[in-house]
Amino acid sequence: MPVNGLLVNFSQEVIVDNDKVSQLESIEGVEVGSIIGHSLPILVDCQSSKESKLRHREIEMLDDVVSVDVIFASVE
Amino acid sequence: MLERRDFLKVSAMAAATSAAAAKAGKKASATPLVDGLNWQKAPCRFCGTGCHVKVGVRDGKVEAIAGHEDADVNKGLLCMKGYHVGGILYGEDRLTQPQLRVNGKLENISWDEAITIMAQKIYDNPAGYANYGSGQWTIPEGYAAQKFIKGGLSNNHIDPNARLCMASAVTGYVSTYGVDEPAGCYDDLDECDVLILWGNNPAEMHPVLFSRVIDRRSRGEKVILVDIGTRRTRSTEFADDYLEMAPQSDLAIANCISHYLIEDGTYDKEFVEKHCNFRIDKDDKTRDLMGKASSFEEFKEKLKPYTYEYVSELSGIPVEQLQKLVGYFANKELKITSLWCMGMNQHTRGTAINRLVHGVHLLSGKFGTPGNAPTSLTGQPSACGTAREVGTLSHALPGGRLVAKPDHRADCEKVWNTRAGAINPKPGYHTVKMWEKFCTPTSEGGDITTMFVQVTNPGQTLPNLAKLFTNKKGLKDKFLIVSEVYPTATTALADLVLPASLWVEKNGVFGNSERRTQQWYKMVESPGDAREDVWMTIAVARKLYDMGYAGMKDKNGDFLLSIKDDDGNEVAAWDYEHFHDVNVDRALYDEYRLLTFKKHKDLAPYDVLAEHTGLRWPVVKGKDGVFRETKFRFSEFSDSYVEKGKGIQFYHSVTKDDKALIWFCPYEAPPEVPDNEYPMWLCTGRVIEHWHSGTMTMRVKELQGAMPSAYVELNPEDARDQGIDNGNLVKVISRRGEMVLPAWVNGRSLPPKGSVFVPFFDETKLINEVTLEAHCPVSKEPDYKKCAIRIEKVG
Repeated sequence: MPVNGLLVNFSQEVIVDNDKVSQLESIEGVEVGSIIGHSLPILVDCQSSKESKLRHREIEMLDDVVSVDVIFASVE
Repeated sequence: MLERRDFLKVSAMAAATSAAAAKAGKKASATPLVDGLNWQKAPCRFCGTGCHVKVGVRDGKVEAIAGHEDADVNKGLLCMKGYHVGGILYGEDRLTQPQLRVNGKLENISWDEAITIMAQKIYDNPAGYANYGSGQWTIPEGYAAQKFIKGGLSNNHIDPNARLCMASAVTGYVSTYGVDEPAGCYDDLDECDVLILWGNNPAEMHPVLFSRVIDRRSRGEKVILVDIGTRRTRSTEFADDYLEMAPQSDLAIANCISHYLIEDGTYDKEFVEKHCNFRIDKDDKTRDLMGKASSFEEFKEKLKPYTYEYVSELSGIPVEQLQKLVGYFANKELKITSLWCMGMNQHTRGTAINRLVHGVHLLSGKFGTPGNAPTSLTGQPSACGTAREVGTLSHALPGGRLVAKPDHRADCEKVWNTRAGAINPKPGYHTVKMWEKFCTPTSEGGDITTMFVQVTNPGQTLPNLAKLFTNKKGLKDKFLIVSEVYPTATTALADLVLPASLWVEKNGVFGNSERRTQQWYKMVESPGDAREDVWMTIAVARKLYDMGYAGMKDKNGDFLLSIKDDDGNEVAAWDYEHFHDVNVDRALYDEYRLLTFKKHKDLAPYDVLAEHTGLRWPVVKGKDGVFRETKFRFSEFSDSYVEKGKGIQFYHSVTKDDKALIWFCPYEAPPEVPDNEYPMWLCTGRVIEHWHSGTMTMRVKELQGAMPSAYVELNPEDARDQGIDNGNLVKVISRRGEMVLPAWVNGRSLPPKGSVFVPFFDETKLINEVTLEAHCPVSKEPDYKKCAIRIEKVG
């Protein structure tokens, strides 16, 4: 049951507003931290590695997301 | 008190927040202390980038990994392998007990029996004993092995698998600057205007370094990426210019750049006159380390054939692209960093292409200021720290010394307190020769009879495996000892298997690609009866000492590998009950450090190193007592060993005049090229999910699941011509062997028509049955990147 700390990096051109934060919060297992610069730290709590991978891809596909860095990973 | 899941969540959010702060240039807050989770620092166990991780331990188990936000190298980021590094400790099939092969089967034995068997083998034939290690030896492990074999056995048959990955970089640096390792560092990646990848795919192999450059683009900075390679890779997707070259034609491309810099008068005349001499091979046939002196006029003349048209014909690169490449080096305003790794090193003219790329930078003056550097990357975490700096190569001694030089031997004999003449002046066998001798019957001249393998998997990674490894199978008089953490292709043929501690189950020190030395402490216990490699060396040495083997005694008759406590009293470190009474790593490292000053590779004391996430040598103590690292070697503004007013000073110059050497090396064809029988090229390499032979990463279910099997990647036209679809089984056949793999078309890379790519991580599909053992005559590094094959669809 992986617990991951991710960094969601947004494009320099966009303002990360409440809509974007809500969009992320609506994803199952995601908790959102406070934006710093153009990067938003988030927590992803999943039941399986497969689910964790799907969440990661889902976040990468969001509008204005440039990349998603994995910063923390629990060891199973 | 928080439950495990809760504190993992707190830690995960805190780590991500710290990384966000680091990325925004704000001071990052430390990962919070959470009940029961103890965070300590360690370099990542995988590649030579040297990312620092924070390891979260609770109840004796690694429970979490985070990027270290204070680490200069990775600034809190990790790659997909890095954030799974903790999982490598917990594969289900860890080796936990010494095992001896009896009647074809491995049977459990005690450590005492194992060490006795090993010592007896050495005692019976010390000249026939060899130690094969790697760039994954920690610095203390490599140093102990080095002292044991060169100081104790006097036979010099020690070599690391680094011979297979960076030996050509070493000979390139040594023959250019007179001393090994890059002058620049990763800071160049933050400053360069142009980054040139010479047969290099950092997007997959060194992803954190690659993102360090690509992140600059997201901040609005312009970085031109030039990818010179033999196949399209993930790095190519980010490139402004992709120059697809015919295998081996990098030699001609580099000569073309030099030719036009001179022809067009755009080379940096002042830099060259002040800081460079010229060098060529002794004659058309001799290829050695130092060649002979040349003149600018002769150099210019030799370059003349390398016109755009000729080089375009050889390389397949259009003239316009070559002109653009030359234009970058001719532009005085641009700062250029070159990166390379296996593409240039695993090359039958590996030394030559390394020299030529250094030469292009020197000729254009793109050297010695931030952003201007020719920099090789390493594939292993301590290829630089251990193989190159400790000198665990068959011809080398610690601190950049050579066995062939009397004063170098005398330096080591003094520190080791051995008798004068203890070190043999004759280099031992290099990797290919060592394994050839081990796999040849003793009666036919195969004079290596006992081989000890540590921290590497030659049964999967040697080229031409049938000749250099599998042949051992039928030889009754050969004895293979393997220290390992998991069963591998190498343990499959071992006569004695020793279970080893891994990564944070032991203390360690690594040295990364940018001269950065990194220390960590043991954090968790080893499983079962697994023990530290450095203990194995000390224990065998002591057994030999007790058996009366003279080489294991120093001048005073004391034990050669004696470990002393802070009061100078000997600790019985060979007895595992007492091995942890002192920090053995600290004792060995601080002794080794005494040998690092001669070539200005000054390391920080162990206790200073322990306070940092790595320091780049030379680490020099200031008048204020503070030890400071050196970012840019040979440059006055950064390197305190450069004399005032010199600007740039190559203070280990071959020609003893503080000048570097610009070499001319001709284009020479590869030893094996496609023909009617074997009409295609084979290139081998790594994938992002797996590290080297997959011994560790294939035990991490996320990584294994992401890339479970090796494959043969084909150009779509070749696949269509032969009726091959994705997933079809394809036999890859060379003059040496064959391997069946599933086909991948339109995968993550694109080999040009007439060539295929196969990764080597999969122990069930040993592509090195097929590769060629031909090697660079100077570095002795084999070429895994090009040989002739044919393919056949199976079924």
